Amino acid sequence: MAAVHVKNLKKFYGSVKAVDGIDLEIKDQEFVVLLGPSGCGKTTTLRCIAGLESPTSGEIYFDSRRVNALEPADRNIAMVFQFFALYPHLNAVDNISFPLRAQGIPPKKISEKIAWISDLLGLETILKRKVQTLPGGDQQKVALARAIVRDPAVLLLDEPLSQLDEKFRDEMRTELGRLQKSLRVTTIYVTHDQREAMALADKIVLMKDGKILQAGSPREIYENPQSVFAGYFIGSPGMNFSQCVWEGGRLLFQGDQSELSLSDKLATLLSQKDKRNLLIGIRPEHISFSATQRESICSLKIKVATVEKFSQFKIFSFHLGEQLFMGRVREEVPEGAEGYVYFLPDRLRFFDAETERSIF
Amino acid sequence: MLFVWPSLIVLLFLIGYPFIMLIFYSFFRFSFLRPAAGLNFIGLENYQFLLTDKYTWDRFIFTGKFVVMAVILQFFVGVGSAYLLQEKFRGRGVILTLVLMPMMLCPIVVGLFWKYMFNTQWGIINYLLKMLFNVGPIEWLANEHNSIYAAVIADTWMWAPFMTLLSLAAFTAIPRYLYEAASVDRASAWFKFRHITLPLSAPILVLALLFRLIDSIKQFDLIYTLTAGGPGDATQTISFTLYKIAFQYFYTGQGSALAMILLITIICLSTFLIMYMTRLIEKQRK
Repeated sequence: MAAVHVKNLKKFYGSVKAVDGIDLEIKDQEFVVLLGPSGCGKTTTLRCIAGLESPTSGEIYFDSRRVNALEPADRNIAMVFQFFALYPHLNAVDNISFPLRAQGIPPKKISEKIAWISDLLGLETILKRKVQTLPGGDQQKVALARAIVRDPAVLLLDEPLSQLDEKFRDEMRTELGRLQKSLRVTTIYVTHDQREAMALADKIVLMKDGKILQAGSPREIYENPQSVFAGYFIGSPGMNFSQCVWEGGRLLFQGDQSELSLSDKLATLLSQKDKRNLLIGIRPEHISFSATQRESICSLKIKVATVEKFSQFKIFSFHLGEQLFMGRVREEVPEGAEGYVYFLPDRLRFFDAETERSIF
Repeated sequence: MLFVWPSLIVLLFLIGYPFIMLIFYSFFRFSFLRPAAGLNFIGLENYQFLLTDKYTWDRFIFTGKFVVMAVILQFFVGVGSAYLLQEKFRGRGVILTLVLMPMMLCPIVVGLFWKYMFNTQWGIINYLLKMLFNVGPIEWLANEHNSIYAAVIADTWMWAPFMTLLSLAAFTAIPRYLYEAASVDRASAWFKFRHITLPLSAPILVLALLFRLIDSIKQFDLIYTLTAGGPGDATQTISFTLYKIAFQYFYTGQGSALAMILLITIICLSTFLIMYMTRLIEKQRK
């Protein structure tokens, strides 16, 4: 068990700034997810914490111990890689027991630990099989077992589920969450899949272009994105945005100049902030549709463009200003229908059009 | 399809015709130098003679010894140097080019300058041995027991780079994250080599071994210039014997038969190795 502190971490590859000043505080036993698009520096950060890369500058501490100079083998970490990284010609048992043998743990103890981890992850049927003959999901379970069995201070995972097919991914995601809670090991998890992050994390660290955009619990980031990117990246689909103008006490959409009538509370807030060019953001799940107008504020007349059906909900799209908005509802929405959308007033978010930072 | 014919005809003449004539002559007592003496059909007598002749068998056994020693040495030197050259370091490109140069030289030239280097009185090998280890002078080429080692050393110097090249190609194809996982697990360098590098590069290493095996059996140029089969016939490989029979004595028939025997031997050996290699690849592909 260890807390991890990263201070002003920078990693440059020549002129490429992969990581450009990252500060992280990870509490003991916390499950932290580094989330972001490809190339944002999340994997590089993880590898610096692991010791597989040396930082250009910055400090890394496990508890209060500076680990910059330590080899990965000496940091008491375990890592699960995206492509499993199992020893190809050994079977599952030998793969899992290898780190224990390397530590000089007596065979009897090793057998006990194997039995325990096999029970925990349901590996009995595959223990004796050569790992190359196993399907992806089982291989990743073996990789996970190999990591956990040595009781590491910090568990690092680099997009472990990205190579698995959808069904396995859902299973493993649940499995991982449950596992981490029962093992109570400090976990740092890298992914570009925001659903994984939302499902597993105690804290999400959203990264872009080598910097941290926002760090907080899944709920915080979901409800209060501090940037347009945060709103857009989280959610399936992500937040809808449109350019609009706050002028003379009215909110007008760019393009067709249609007006969104606001509640008094919102109007007051906007006049206080006194910004003219804004971006309005609303999540698809906070938009509802009805054939007739039910509300007098935050409601607009629209025409439904397309409807996609999923098992539990429907996603419909409509044009607003110059943008295509998506709404997510449970009831049926007829394609091409004309009607009214209603935006939940408490869920509307406003961003500065130039800086793309949230106003509120 | 018509445009294929010219190439086919050329191929037929360059490969097909000589090969068929080889098989043909192997059943005859015939000599290129004395065509007037005629073509005497003797059936399998050439083969019978060669396969029961003690002299020929001695040559085969010597060739076997030479090939085994040379190929094993080349394997270790090649794989070892590839292991050291895996990681990038300053000057690696230059060193790699230098390491690969011997392979690019002409075997005849190589044989010649090793002949000079192995010279008992003024060769550089003996000079260095004396200076560094106070050993010698060793009679390399004039001594019938030592000449095989001289041949093996020269052959290894020339062809180990081939093993290096193929091993390096195989090693660099192995994904880095396997080694990283092993580092995190505190694996020793030996463990990484034994359980990651070797298993994943095995098919290519076997392929390289196959190439070297076939080549060594056919080794002629080097022997010709280094020892001329000598002293006496102490370093006479089977290829050299073939040369003598076909181009010194001009026993064309017997030479053809020996060439056929050699061909069949090489085919058998290759088949074994290819089967083994295929099995390795299939095991990996699962």
